[in-house]
Amino acid sequence: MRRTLIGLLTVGALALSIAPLRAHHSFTAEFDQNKLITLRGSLTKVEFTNPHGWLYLNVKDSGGKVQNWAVETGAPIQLIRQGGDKKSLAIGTEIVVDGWLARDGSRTVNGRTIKFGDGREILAGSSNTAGQ
Amino acid sequence: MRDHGISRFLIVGSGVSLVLLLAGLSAIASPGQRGGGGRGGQAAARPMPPVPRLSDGTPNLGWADPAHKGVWRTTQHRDFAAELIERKEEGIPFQPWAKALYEYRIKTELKDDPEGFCLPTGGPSATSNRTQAPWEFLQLPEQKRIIRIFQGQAHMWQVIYLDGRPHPQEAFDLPSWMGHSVGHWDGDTLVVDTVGFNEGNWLSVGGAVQTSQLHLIERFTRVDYNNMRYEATIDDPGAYTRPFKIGWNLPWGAGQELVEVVCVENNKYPNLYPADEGQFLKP
Repeated sequence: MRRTLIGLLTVGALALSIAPLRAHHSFTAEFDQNKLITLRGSLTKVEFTNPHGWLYLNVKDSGGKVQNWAVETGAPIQLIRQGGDKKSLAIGTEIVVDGWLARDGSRTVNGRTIKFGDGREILAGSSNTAGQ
Repeated sequence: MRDHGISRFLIVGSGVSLVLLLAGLSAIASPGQRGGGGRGGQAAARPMPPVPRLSDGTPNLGWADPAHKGVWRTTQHRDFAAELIERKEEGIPFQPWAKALYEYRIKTELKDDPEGFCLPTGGPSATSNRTQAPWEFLQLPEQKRIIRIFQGQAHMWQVIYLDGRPHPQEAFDLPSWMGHSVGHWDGDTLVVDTVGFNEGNWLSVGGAVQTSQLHLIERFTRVDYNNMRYEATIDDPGAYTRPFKIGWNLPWGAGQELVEVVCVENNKYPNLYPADEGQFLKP
């Protein structure tokens, strides 16, 4: 409980104090605020690009079939300044991503958090900001 | 052991972040109530430096020196009705067509926001946009111009001429994203007068309309070292029934520098762009 509280406090505080680079497009036009999902998989491709970074994961579905998912993140500098650099996001790395599902039915999410194998968690720089 | 280490990191991280956050909010809260001194009741706080000035006494709206570097941080303001500084109770004086378009944009979840397509956010949206990317003023008094450079969107810059020139006819004949700007000092306030906007941009992130008839007068006042007061008069007879004034405060991001952000580099928004408006239009 205490750890959860601390985690939430950290994520919330970091969200408000890191560099003010936010998504440049409407979140709700693309993603469903009510469909937050968790993806666990290995990185197949990483794009440290603007205006958003993109992570691609191979994820096993409930039937054991591997599907490739795309995860939109904030600007790459948001990830790097939190320690989400090319080394920690190397191809093949297992990560867990929480994110909101795309409305168009594609295997695309807007990332909320990225969790690494050592338990470290960073914000994905989501465009789902307050007031959306 | 590792968990303890992580917990400690989280606690320290939370504490530091919250202190930074609260300090930032405190700095934004009431800039007009402080001069160049420290914060009342916070004995340990470092005194705020005075507003820096150029050799001719003009306020320096940027770095005083490399040890006092920083950027101005854009704050997002979607609904300009909330930012009115005069006749607030009357709301934004939309013309009927502009109100209808504004409401359509809200109903369609702001999907057509030009910023999503990496187009430049000129006019008041330069100081209130979605990305909240920082920017700087570079003052060039010998050249009688000030250049405003923006980190975000489409590598924007804006030249503000202070040499007394009028707006050229070309600004109206070839309207642009940033428009044509001339400026002057009104005491310690930089007044920027801009015309010649094209109609590709939105006046606000929230979907307010802007036409090529927009005559924008912006006032920038560094009220203390850490805060800029921004006020703008929107005079756009193409979309509004009368001029109106908006304003807000902008915080100084001390120690920060601009970084390269090329929005078009890998913009996938067009791939997911919901072209079918039907899914948004509710009865």
